Amino acid sequence: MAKLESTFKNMFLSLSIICLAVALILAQLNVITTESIAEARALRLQDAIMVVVPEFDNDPVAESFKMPVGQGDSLLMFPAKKNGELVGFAVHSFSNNGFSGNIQVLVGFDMEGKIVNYSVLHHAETPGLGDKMEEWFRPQEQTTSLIERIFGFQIETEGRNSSIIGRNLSAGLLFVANDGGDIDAITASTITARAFLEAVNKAYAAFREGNVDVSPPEIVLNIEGAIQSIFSDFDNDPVAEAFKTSSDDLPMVFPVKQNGKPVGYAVHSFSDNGRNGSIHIMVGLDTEGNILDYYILHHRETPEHAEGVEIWFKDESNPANNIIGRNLSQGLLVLADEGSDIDGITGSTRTTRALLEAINSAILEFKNQ
Amino acid sequence: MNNNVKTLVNGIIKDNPIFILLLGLCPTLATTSSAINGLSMGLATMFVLIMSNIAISLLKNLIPDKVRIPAYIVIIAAFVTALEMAMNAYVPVLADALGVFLPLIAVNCILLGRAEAFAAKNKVIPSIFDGVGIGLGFAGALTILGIVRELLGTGKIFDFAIFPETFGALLFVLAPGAFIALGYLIVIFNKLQKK
Repeated sequence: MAKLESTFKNMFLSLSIICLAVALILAQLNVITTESIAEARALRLQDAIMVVVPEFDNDPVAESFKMPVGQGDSLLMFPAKKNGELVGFAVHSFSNNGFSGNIQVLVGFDMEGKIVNYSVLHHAETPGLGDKMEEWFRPQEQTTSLIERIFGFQIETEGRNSSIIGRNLSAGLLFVANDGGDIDAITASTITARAFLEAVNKAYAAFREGNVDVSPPEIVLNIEGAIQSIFSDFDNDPVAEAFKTSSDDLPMVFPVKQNGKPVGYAVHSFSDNGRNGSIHIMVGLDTEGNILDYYILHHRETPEHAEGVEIWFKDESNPANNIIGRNLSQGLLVLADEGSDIDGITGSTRTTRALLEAINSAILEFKNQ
Repeated sequence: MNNNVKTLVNGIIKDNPIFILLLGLCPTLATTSSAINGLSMGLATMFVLIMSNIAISLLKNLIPDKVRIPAYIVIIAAFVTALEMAMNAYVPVLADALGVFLPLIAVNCILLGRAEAFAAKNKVIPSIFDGVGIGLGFAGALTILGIVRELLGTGKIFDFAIFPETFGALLFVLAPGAFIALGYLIVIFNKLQKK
């Protein structure tokens, strides 16, 4: 058969027929593969869920539900149950801030809020760089290379702190080191690491919302140690004689006595306005209401914000901030930028303010009784 | 038959698409950060190349000259789309690994180049051999480049550790390393071939 001439009719027909045929074939192929593609996706999701949550015997996909998390987003949650009891959640989270856009991860939490494992469902990060996130955030494996095996030596791989497995995010969200966090970013792929952690943090937020049973890890407060560090000489049992004047749990007053005579009061008070939640403090007052000393029982501020908090208000070289010996008759303690003389800790005004709030509430408690 | 074997060998050596013709360098540079990625990209391209060569040599007389380019493109794109759907359905792991480069096979100039230079002028059987030869040449070149880059960049070949990762030069995983490695490979290949 000779080649068709390039007449308008021939060109029109040839191209039309080819396009039509191709369209029909592809349409048919699409029908055939749609189901398999959906199945493959479902299977992958199923496998990923299996990896990231503790053992379960229900059908997490069938029981999945959407959980809204800020900014109009909502994440899909897959509850894992064993014998009808919740054992964990797999959260399908994402970030749009990857180096090549969208990153989707499945993060599994146990009921305490610890990360069991994660699985990257979708990403378009650079092969060899950003796609290292699939292993990077797991505990590092020491591999022995061929050369090391042949010549019988071992070169220590550079240690890195990048594993998020087993981390409980109630102790603070995850950030790369460049952003003030403690997770080492992927070498040459900081943007990917940042986006990945953003997705993990988002998953945790959804997990928190969707699971009212999760309570923050119990705070162990060293009450007796705090009282002893403030008052060295006493012979009663302040904890046994503790009382409070309001119906709230805190502040709590611990009367400190020697030979039956009161020497002062330790007041346990708190503020919920720290950068990372509550701050608990023990303030020691003498019988006149002068501040003797304070002791921070608990805080979750990040190290660089909390640095110096322990001693900031009793630094003798900086009288402006020294609150030791102050009396409540001088009024409440407020920061310099609110009209008083106490400087906030540089870069940590919020933490300082929360601390002062706790101290003030302790002083008010003393006044009340 | 002798001619067919010659066509096949030519595709790998004398007309090697990467080292000699320097065609389709975009996916070559982008996907060869590791040996396995290079190999799978090479094989996927080889499949499309063989299929499009067959289809075009069969249809060559039905396609008027002035519309041949759009016709070839439609045929090549159809095979790429079919391959992508099939891979997503049956080997989703591989489809994920190749990501955006899989649909981009459609615009790889090797495919159009072979359609134009060979399939449109030859019968089906030689076109198959040409597809296999060029495909092997492409896949081989991508695998070699992938091996070199993975070894120098991370100390591994096909994920098997040869020397400690600490000694790897990250440069070779990145784009500049792709150009450098490819440049030297072209030099070596041509030097060896001239002998």
